[in-house]
Amino acid sequence: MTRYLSMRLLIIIPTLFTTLMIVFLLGYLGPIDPVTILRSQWAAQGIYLNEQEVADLRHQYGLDRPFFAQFGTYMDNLLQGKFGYSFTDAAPIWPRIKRSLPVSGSLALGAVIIMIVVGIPLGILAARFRNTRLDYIIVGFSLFLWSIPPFVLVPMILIISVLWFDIMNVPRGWKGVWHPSFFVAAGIISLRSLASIIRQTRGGILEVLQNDYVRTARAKGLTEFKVMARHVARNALIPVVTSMGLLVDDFMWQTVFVDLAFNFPGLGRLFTQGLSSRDFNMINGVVLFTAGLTMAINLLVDLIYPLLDPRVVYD
Amino acid sequence: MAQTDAANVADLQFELEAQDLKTRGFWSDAFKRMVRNRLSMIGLGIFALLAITAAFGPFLAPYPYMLQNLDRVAEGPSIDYLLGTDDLGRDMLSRIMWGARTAGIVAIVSTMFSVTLGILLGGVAAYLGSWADWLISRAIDVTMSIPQLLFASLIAATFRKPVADWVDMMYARTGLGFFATPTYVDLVVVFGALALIQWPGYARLIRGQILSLREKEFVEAARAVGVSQLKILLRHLIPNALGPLIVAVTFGFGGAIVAESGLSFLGVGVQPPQASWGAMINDNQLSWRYRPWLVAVPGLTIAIVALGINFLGDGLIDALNPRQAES
Repeated sequence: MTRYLSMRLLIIIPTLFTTLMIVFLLGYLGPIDPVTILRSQWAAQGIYLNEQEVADLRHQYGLDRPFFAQFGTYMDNLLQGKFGYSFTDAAPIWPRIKRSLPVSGSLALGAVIIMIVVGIPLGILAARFRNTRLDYIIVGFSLFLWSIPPFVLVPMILIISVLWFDIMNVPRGWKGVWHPSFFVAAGIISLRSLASIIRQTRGGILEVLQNDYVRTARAKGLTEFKVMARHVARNALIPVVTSMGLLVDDFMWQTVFVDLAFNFPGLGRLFTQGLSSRDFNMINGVVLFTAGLTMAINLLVDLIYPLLDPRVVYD
Repeated sequence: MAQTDAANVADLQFELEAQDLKTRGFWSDAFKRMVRNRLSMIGLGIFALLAITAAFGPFLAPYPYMLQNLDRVAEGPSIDYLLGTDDLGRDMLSRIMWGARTAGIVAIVSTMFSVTLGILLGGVAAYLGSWADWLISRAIDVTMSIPQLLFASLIAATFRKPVADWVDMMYARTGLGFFATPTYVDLVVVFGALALIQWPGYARLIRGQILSLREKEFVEAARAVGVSQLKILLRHLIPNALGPLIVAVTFGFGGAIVAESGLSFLGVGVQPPQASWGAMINDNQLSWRYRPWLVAVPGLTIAIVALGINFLGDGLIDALNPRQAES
């Protein structure tokens, strides 16, 4: 087990390194760098830079150096725990990411809670009453939610709830966890994963229900609830846990658009800001953070397997 | 009730099967199962509508996608303009129809690229094993660890200018009219970005399929009676891996359409004035309060298309995996 864990942790380092190098290379190869954006922004304010000044600025930021020199400096800083400085306003990156974490973290947590509290029971219900109207409604509705992209859903919800029913104002900005906009946003973020959790749970349970030990449990007179809770749910949850590995990706998909729509200062907005101003350090920071999170969650998922299924043993 | 119906149908099917065992193969069986599923037929209908609109939409559209009628700016639905006009006086219906072509082309080409890449790399990984498998699996891990949307938008943002420069250069060198229009640039960039984020899913699927099928008894039996490697591949491995692949491709198709409109929404996909559903939402989202149809029409279009394709994929899962469907 220790050996397995250390192997897994060791492989994370080169994977993250390669990821970062790819993202860094994309920035390096790109035709537009932060200085180009800065120049156009200043020009809009009436400050015009000539070629020499632009070249000086690039030199000052080290953007004229060869790829490996730039990447080396970045890695060197990173190993000292520094994510570098923003090209747009020279503020350090890490405090920004740290400040966005409570927002994105609570949104993600809210979404996960919605997913587990709503998704798993609905999946169990659909499986228990399979091929009835209830099952069709649950499955059809989850497929419906899964299909609609967030940048469609957000304006639709706004049109319905603000224009038609007039039950809320347009949510702008982060107003804490207890504001209705948080629940709407967390709900939207959870939708994609919610649908897949419902389907996974339903499928898993239907497969487990066919096993002989379920018949035995029923035959020996256990209540239906106990059969489901003790014998079925535990085994059926294995595929659900597997799909947790995709959570971060789903979350980033949704949060980029949700942050834009609700003007939340979360990770998604940091990324779109970074992308539009080609703030390489910001982009690298966000990607590094989310990629690391993905790997950590995948590792966690693999560590949970043995708890659910004693047959899974690592070396 | 539904269960007894299903049981009757299964009995009937069994009798039919016993009667003409030779004429009904796996595929016609799957087809019959799919036709019985109402939702998947609705999905197929929506899919067919998208395909027809993508192919013939530009000829059927009442107006050109760029034509502005400045006397009739930002109107609601009317007889002249069935879905209204946008802020620049362009007909929404025509733009939706042109957008269908964008979505269709992107979905077909990027899925083709990523499936080819996925089959090649997944197949190589499964067949060669050892270091090739290790290398490709790590590449899959790396690609999948970067959130897809972030990766795709970075790729699209990086490669737009180089591709545009290349197209310009080709035009200057060859003088071909094909290179004169810059619209291809957006599409090529989006194809590339989507193919690069989608191939790992297919590669992982193919690798897993081949690895597990190779150990199955029927393959062992075929090998034991001396069937050649190539024939095993063609007769046993590929047909059996095809079902899951078709399902994955269907969902990938819907995913590509949503991803394209997502990139265009973020401004790194198809550029204006080209018609793209995502860009249409982005263009009009500031005026949703006063002219909600400008956002609702492209939004509903994306939602309906994505839903239809997912219904189709769901029906295909049931049709192609009879064991899972019966459970």
